[in-house]
Amino acid sequence: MMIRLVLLLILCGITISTFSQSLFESSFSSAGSTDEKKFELFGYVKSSAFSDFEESKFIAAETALKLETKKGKYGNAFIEARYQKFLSHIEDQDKSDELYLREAYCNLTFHDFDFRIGQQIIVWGRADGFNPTNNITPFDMTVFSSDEDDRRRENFVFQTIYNFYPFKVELDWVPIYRASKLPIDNIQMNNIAWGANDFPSLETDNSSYGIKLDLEKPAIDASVSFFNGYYKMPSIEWNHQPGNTEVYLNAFRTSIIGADFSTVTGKYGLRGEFAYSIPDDKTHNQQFIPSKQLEYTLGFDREWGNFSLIAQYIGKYIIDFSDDTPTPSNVFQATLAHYNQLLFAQTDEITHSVSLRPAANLLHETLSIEMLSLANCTTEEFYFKPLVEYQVSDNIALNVGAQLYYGPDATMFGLLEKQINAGFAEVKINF
Amino acid sequence: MKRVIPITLLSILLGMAFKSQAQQNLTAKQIQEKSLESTRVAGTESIATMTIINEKGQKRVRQMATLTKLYDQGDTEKKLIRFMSPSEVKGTGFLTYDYNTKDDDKWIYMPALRKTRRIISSENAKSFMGSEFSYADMTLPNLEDYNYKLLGETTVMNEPCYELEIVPVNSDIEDENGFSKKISYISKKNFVKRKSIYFDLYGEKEKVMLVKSIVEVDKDNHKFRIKHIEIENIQNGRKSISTIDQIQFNPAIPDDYFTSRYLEN
Repeated sequence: MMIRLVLLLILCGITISTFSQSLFESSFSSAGSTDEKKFELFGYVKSSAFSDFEESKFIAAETALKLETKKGKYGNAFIEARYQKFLSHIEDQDKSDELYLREAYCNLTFHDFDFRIGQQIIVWGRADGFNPTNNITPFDMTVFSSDEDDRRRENFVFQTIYNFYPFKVELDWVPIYRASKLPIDNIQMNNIAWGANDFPSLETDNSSYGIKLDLEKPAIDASVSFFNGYYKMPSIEWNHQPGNTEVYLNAFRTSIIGADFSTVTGKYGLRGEFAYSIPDDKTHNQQFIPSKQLEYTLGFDREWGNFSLIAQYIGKYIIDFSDDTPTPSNVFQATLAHYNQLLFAQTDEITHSVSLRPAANLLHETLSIEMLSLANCTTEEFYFKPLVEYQVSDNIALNVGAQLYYGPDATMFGLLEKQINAGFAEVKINF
Repeated sequence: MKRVIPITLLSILLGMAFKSQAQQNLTAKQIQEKSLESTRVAGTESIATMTIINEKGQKRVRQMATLTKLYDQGDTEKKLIRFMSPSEVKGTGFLTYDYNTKDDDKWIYMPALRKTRRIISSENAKSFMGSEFSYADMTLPNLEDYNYKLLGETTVMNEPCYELEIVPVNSDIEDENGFSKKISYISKKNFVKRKSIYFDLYGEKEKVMLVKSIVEVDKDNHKFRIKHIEIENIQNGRKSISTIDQIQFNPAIPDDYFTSRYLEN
């Protein structure tokens, strides 16, 4: 199936290339030159080791092979396949290797319309790293990588963009649900076994869609968006039958109204992002559906020569918040509800968080040092990601850093602290 | 017929004399203004190579495609730069709306971020992609941000030039652009800058920029682009060279090229 898809996309890319472009349009081709090469093959090889003081969490070698056909008048195609060989993987100890299509899509352009069809990653939101409007592409917190992009989980999307400057309208249709992943499989839910996930089947009624209107003006960039579909983070359900009780992941529908902006005033960049989520509690008779919530991020960025800082306030308000206290008669259900509250970060009516990303670009942009940090002042959860990247040459990079979560036991970061806290070292060679 | 030739010659000589006289009367600021005008081209498409050479002689080579177009009767130049190689920076793009009289608007697209990000325009002193060129070197300076003094005339690479001292009007402009003084040598023939010497914020000589060749891209309006430029940092021994490999004059570039649509694709 994968081979057929790859061949189809290559054929598609080659067919839609016309090679009749101007100098600059030709240079836009990923082929990287104005010659008659029909496609370009490139990629990387990466070795990674993640470990804490007690055990190695992840040791792997990875290679990515990317193929991009020359951009023609009507579009092109792109494929990235990745192969990972694991020596150690704490999140999936039975897995020794993995081959998967990271992305495989066709780009088509007709006048003011752009289409991208296939396996792809779509990122929404102008805030830095914490984007409540970013709901098309799920994420995978079990991935060990220094690159935040590697935690984005590709899915199949039909994307249409209509450009009418200074506006553009983007419509994304997601026919197949793909869930975000958290390292929660090891959670002991009162010794009840985990059953198979119950995710929506491939039916039109089960598809999701997002629509976004972007404004691009010299003074400000902004957008309003609407998402309706299965939320990327599933909830934990339980199924009780005589002699067999199990918990499993189940998806639910939600609607999310979003907006964002970015602008510059003087020496400061300003950005903000807002989302109002209205979960559909009629989707299933679920144990826990998150409440309606309002998320808001406001931040600024500033540069001083080679140093920069991005600072953000990240807030959340849970509408109709109810704090159910476990009682002896429903302690299991209360536990389940608590874990669901952790998944959706709805343990408090109002939460206040601050993120900081100080960074330095040194040695003529061959050495970059940054420290992404997040502090949830309400739940006392903290996240730190120091990262040092040294570019040995144009194609060889060394990365060292750490991913560190801290929080009380009954919090999400408290769970992650036990699972994925690690220091890491990576070598990446691009070709 | 015999009378026509002397009259024509006289007219040409008078014209040259008046032009020469007019040029002699130019103030330093007018020379700089003409210099900026000489490279303000209605529209260009180009492919360029930038070579970054460190103090040990090791080279890093970047290839980029650039689009420029003038708007607002020449007061605004929109510029799109996209890196084509090496793979480390491939796909990275910059979109700049370069205004004559106010801070520029700038956006960056980095493939790893998968989105276009608006960036602060005031930090022009920063190195451009690790080279000795700064972001200030990639855009045209605002005329009113500097004070000008005509130091004299000299010859640079066999080209008669005006010698100008250019000093930021205040410390904010100094900090933003990363130099306390610049000596520029501007061709008397076509007003294209041929050489600049930069002094750092402590007044020490820091960089020497040399324009080795230029190309007249708009022959009707006598507008030029720098074809080969070298900049050497005499404090750290690093050098960067930028050469235009291909260039086309194209004032009819579609406007939507200067949007995030083309920055990202």
